[in-house]
Amino acid sequence: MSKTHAERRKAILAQPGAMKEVYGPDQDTVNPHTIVRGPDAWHLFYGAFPGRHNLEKRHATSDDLVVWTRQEPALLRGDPGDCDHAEVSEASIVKHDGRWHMMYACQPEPDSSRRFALAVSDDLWTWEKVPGDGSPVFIPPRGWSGWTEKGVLECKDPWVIPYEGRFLMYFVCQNRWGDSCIALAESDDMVHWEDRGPLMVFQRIENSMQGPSGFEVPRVFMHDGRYYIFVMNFWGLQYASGDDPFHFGEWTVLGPWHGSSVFSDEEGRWFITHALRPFGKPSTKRPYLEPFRGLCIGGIVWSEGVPVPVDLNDVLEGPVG
Amino acid sequence: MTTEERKRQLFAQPSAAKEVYRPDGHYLNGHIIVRGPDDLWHLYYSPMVPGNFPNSNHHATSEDLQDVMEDWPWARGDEWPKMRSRHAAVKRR
Repeated sequence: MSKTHAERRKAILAQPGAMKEVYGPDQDTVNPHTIVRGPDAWHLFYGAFPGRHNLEKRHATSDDLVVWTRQEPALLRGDPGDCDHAEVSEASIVKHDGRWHMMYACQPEPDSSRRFALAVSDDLWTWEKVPGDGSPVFIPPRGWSGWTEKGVLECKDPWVIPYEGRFLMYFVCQNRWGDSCIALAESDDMVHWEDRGPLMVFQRIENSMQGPSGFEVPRVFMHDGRYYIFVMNFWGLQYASGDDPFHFGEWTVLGPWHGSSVFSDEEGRWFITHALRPFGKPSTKRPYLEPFRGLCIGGIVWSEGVPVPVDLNDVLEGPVG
Repeated sequence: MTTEERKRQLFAQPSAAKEVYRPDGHYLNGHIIVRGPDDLWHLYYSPMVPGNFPNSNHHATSEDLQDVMEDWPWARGDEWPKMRSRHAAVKRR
């Protein structure tokens, strides 16, 4: 007999960890993901598998961030020859001119370098690719990035924020020497982008057991008048803050989160996600890679500008104990 | 619940670190784990109760670090001689 919504919520919130697995492998595994508050529900858009194995943008919804329901995929891969025929990967969603805009990384062929494509939606349920001819909207310039049609390992993880009437897109790329970069591009309309080059450069740390070797999944947002950037790097999830979205201070390592998003709801409650791995196991490589897991959500409370991870119950129900 | 069922339930927890021991009526903060000469893992800790200062030491054992059995209280704050004698008894084996 299937559990009621209340029973599922109670069981999830009773998990012993602070990060609750709210969408588990019994429903699907989750890797690259983004969560958006729509007019009707919370929407989770994700890929189920490790990089380069996702052929569609999967979709789940929730009323309370705790109990999630799997929906039909939101976006399918394109036809042969399209920029997204071989992969539909990490995405970022913002609202512009009354429509939701999803920027996502993709590949036309399995050995292609990634590029970024765009889809738009009126309701977060039905998506239309733009411009619709199978072409991407952004490819890093071949000067600093050394991007080539095939073979560039890292051009991924776009993250878009509105800023002073324009849009800033942060993304991970490698420069022509192979260093890991968080780079920046700007746009007025989400379709036409101007490259602004690398914002941060990191000389990779290669290790056969521990990853990632460089930046992954940058997330930039504003809290209490300051800009924060969260990003995975070799030591785990780390963050830095700054007065504007272009200059950030010293890094602080938060811990073994994977693919995290940090976001808030309309009540000013903050949340942090983790996906694909049991929480506490960092970005390990084989033989410790599997088993893959679902999506975890925990809480964030802020103390003098410092994000403090707490139990999801602490944020949803108030401090426990 | 059998030992095997308890282990299966523990390993099904979604986090990498498993909560292997959740005592009743108190919680656990400072602790130490020692492998004993009796082939058991020994957990020693001060039980914490909100609003109360811990005044005893508790003891739990496990054969495999997963199935933990409570043996409490091991020694209260005014029972240190007993604790020392038990320690000495272990050393003499």
